[in-house]
Amino acid sequence: MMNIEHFLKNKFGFDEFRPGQKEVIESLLSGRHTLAMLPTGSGKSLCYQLPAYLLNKTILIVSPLLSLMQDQADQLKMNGEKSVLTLNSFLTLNQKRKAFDRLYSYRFIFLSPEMLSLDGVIQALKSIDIGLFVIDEAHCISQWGYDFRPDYLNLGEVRQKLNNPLTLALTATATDEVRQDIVSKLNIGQAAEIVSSVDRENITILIERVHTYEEKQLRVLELVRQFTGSGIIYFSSKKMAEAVTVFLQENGMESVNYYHGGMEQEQRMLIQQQFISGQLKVICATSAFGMGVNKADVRYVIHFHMPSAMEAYLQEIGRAGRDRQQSVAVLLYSDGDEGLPLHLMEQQLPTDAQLEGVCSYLGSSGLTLAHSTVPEKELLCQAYSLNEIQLRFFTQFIPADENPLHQVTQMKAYCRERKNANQEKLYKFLNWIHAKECRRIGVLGYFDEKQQALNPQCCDQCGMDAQKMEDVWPEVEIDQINSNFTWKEELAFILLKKDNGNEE
Amino acid sequence: MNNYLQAIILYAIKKFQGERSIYAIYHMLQGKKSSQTIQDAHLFGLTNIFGTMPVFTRQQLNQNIEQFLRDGFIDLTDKTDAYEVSQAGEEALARYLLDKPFPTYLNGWKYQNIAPVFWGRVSLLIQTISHIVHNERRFYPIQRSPKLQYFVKEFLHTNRQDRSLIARQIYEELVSLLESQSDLKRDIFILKLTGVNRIGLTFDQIAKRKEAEEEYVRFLFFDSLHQLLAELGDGADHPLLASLTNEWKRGGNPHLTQSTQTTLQYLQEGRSMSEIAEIRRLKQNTIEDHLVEIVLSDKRFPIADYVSSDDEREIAAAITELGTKKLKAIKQMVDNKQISFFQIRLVLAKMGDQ
Ligand SMILES: Nc1ncnc2c1ncn2[C@@H]1O[C@H](COP(=O)(O)OP(=O)(O)OP(=O)(O)O)[C@@H](O)[C@H]1O
Ligand SMILES: [Mg+2]
Ligand SMILES: [Zn+2]
Repeated sequence: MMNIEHFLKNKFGFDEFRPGQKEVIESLLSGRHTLAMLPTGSGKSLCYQLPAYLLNKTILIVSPLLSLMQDQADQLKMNGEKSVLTLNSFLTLNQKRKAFDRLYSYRFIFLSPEMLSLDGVIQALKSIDIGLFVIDEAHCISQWGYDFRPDYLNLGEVRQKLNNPLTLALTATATDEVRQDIVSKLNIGQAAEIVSSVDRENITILIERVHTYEEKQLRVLELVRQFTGSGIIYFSSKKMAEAVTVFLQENGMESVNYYHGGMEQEQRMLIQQQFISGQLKVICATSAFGMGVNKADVRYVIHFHMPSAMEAYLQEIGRAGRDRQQSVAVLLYSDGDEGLPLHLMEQQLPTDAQLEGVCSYLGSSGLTLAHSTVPEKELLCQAYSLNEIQLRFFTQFIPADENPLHQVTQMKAYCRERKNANQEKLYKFLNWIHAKECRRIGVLGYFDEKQQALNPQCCDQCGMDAQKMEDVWPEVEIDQINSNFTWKEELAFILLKKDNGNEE
Repeated sequence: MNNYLQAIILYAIKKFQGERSIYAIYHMLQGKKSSQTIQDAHLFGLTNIFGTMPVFTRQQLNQNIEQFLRDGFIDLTDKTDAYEVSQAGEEALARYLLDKPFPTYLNGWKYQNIAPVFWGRVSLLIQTISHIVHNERRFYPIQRSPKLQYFVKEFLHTNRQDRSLIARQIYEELVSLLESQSDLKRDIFILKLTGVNRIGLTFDQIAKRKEAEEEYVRFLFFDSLHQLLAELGDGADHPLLASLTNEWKRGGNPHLTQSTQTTLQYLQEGRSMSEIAEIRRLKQNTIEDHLVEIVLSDKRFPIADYVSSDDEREIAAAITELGTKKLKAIKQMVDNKQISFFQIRLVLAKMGDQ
């Protein structure tokens, strides 16, 4: 019998398992479908990486985001694993063909869920021996989760087509209700559930009240000046992320930049890598930055805007303290802040008027969204002022062979239910902000967990504040970057080894 | 004028002389691969900025046009959405370009397709080699495109020599090429590089460091790349860097749209225009556009099959005399019912933007 601790050391260089990892791996090795809920940054990826070498069959991993997929594939490659494939729509035809010809030879295949809706892909995957089917961020499958992705809904059917392979569902943030939903949607009824606390005890949780936008901006400046390590500041709007970046820069914080989905790819990569390497200290980001970013020593996460649910909040603060050292999350709240997420939520589903309008238009024109052209879709969006997400709703929810008019009532009810559920999540989160009890107890309560041993640096309600962080977190070395070199010297630093004597 | 993008837009309006709508500028900067835009780029002498702003938006354009109108830099012409640069606009542009001269090597028409790929290859190769030479096995590739990553992998596979020799060679070739570039241009190029000791800077960060303007930095960077590509030439002096561009020399004309390439193949097989239209189920008009595009990219392409040499002379004379590129005016001038707009466009294309 293979000793898996031994394997952990040899293959991954880790001395011991982190809580939950061993249980999950053993459960899988005993052939049981497994649902694992382990907190952010706890090492969920290892739960499929290690078994891959013991099962010696191909592992399929489904990830919700392209960037997340690439990051994880790259991390494996950086660890010396050569046999990794990422299957997404960006591969060239030639690359795809090549990959398909030797699918069996890959140890890890990362896929986006929309790739799995292509018959060709399923056909190709059927021909290989799948050791494990992994669904990362599995809460995305649940309509009651905070990050529902309609693409994930097919995964149950896909599993079946692939002959019900051994399955692992991973998440950091799923309530009991969502966990049940995951199990039933994937149809893995007898799954072992390995659930550990969502709590990240090394992150101090602070909520501060401010009264105006100006005050908030000034408070961010103070915090960034005071905190010495790396930090992320989260915003719900790209514009705001840019504006606060400029504000901080103008006030002498040079090592700050913004990151959002509207930037060119290359610029975005540069900022992300500058941050990870420590060259850039602070990032002002939208939620586009986060998942997949595995920087060990992020010391603080500041929320300039409140997220729309407890789960989102935990995911975002979960970027901090992945090295298990003391870190802090500061949420800046002012009255009425919930307006923004409420507004954003409104826009994620069509209104009743849009539902009626679009369905009657489709019904009378005989147009089916599945087969319509881009200009036709654009026209529809203009006529009913639909945004991209709303349009996607219609494409996904109106089957080609049905009369859309018969579905209006049903869709209305569905949207109302989803909207109510989302709002309820927001109000629960808001209640937590307003509550006078320990923040951590509030978080645990949300996930129906019992109270755990408390960290003395727990939260604002337990007597912590930003000032006191100085005494509890690790020191940061600040390295000065000297930039007084000529362009030739700079190029030599990059390309030539010092002892070759390049300083002519 | 408060930024370089505005200068570029105003420059384009000036070149168009009120003969095209501002949306032609939008297509030009975006590098839209349509026959119309490609012809315009040549007719109005805007091949340099063609495709140099692939992420340019209509909204950006409209905002700037409104700004120009408020500043009195442009006047509306009798054509919809077409403007002319006013006296004040001319002066403002000249003043602006005085300390930020127009990039001279910029040639979007020739390089806009390949420059980004070339940069992707160079930067990823340098990052990779930098890490290998410094014995760092792990790094996160700064270029995310699987195509680029595959290219560099293959490159290192075929070039088996000692990695530090490759590094030295890249260093020397780059130094010799950058030596002849302006201080600012080569600093921008170097600051954008990622290596073992640092991650490259964004345009915005370079602009701050150099106290320049972001758009200007971006255009100078393209200028630097285009100059590099132009000076690589046949690659005799810079074999390693030139080998990153090999397939562009071998392949057909990379500047033709896909559809035009196909038409060209048929023409070379000796098919007539109407045959091609029929085989490809395209309109005659479309094939005409393709021909004009072909002549634009290769002025020596024989047009005798489509315009007799007498007609060609007559059209050319009219164009020279009128000093305009307006098809209608030229047609009136030649006053010959037999001569078509298509023939005029062919001759215009052949004459280029003299
Ligand atoms: N047993 C271990 N000992 C030490 N480090 C570990 C161990 N297992 C995983 N790690 C490290 O922990 C880090 C986080 O791992 P991983 O990305 O898998 O977290 P995650 O649980 O998926 O987080 P998230 O919820 O944010 O996606 C990685 O750098 C990984 O190498
Ligand atoms: Mg993860
Ligand atoms: Zn507490």
